[in-house]
Amino acid sequence: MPFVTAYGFRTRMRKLNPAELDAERLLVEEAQRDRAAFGELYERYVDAIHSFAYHQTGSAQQAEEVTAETFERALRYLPGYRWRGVPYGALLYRVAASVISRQRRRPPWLELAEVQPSLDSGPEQALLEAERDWCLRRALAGLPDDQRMVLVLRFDAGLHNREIAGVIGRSEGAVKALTFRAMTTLRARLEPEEVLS
Amino acid sequence: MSPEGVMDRLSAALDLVLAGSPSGLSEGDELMQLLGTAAFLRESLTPMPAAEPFRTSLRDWLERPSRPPWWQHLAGSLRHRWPVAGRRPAVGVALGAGVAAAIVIGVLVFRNRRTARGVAG
Repeated sequence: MPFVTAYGFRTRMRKLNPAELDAERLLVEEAQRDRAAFGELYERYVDAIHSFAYHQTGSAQQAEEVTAETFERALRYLPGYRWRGVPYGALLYRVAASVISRQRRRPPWLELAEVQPSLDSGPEQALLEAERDWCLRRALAGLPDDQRMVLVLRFDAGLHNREIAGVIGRSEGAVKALTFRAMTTLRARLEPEEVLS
Repeated sequence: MSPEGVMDRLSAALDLVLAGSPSGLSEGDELMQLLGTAAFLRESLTPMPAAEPFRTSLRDWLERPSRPPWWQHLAGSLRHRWPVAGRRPAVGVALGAGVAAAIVIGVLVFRNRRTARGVAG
């Protein structure tokens, strides 16, 4: 069962069973023969990549740029892609991470854009959510790049350590250490009542 | 406990809670505070799906990336009023001739004035 948000979009990478993984392999092979089939892969992963890019850059515009470049590069290199038994999304995350790393060298890359709070639950709740969002973004922005990426892949994309290691090109042990350091730093930077409330 | 041991325990607890199971940590465990941070992160990192106009336009472009930009079609009748091959040289010759004429006229006017001043003086 895919992870479907309240908005009806898939924003976390699915855990595929062997049959689904094989079906995805066939889909990738079909896309390699006929680019029209790439549309299904795109629909499957576009929201996840966009969400990842947004939480990494803190900017809606940058998130769209990263998403567009990620899929453009994925499509360009699709003919040479070799299936390695992992979901295609793992490659897309890796490409997106690479695009984000490159874009960071072009200041300013982190805008700390504000998410428009939903007014469904009342203005007071909306204000609290907006404030919490801003606190989190400020704390995330202060983390080193690799630590922030690990957290977003873990908590937004829903990847496990082994998958994160594949995306960022580090060992599982390094991912564990980065996660621990990032969470310890975040814990210290966020107000205790904010975290525990 | 070694730092590696703490990291392994945190990682295992995160795997459990993110899968919807109890963390397996006791109430007074030193890692409980970090689990609080994890819960805050999980709750606060709200999914940010791509906006509909963007996702549609990107999909359209990915399907036909070699498609020319939209303005080329609309501007077609104006862009091809003259043959493309003949347009640029004609404009270039006219500009060049105009600049040359302006220089010649300027030199002649300058000379005439200087001569007139000399005669008058």
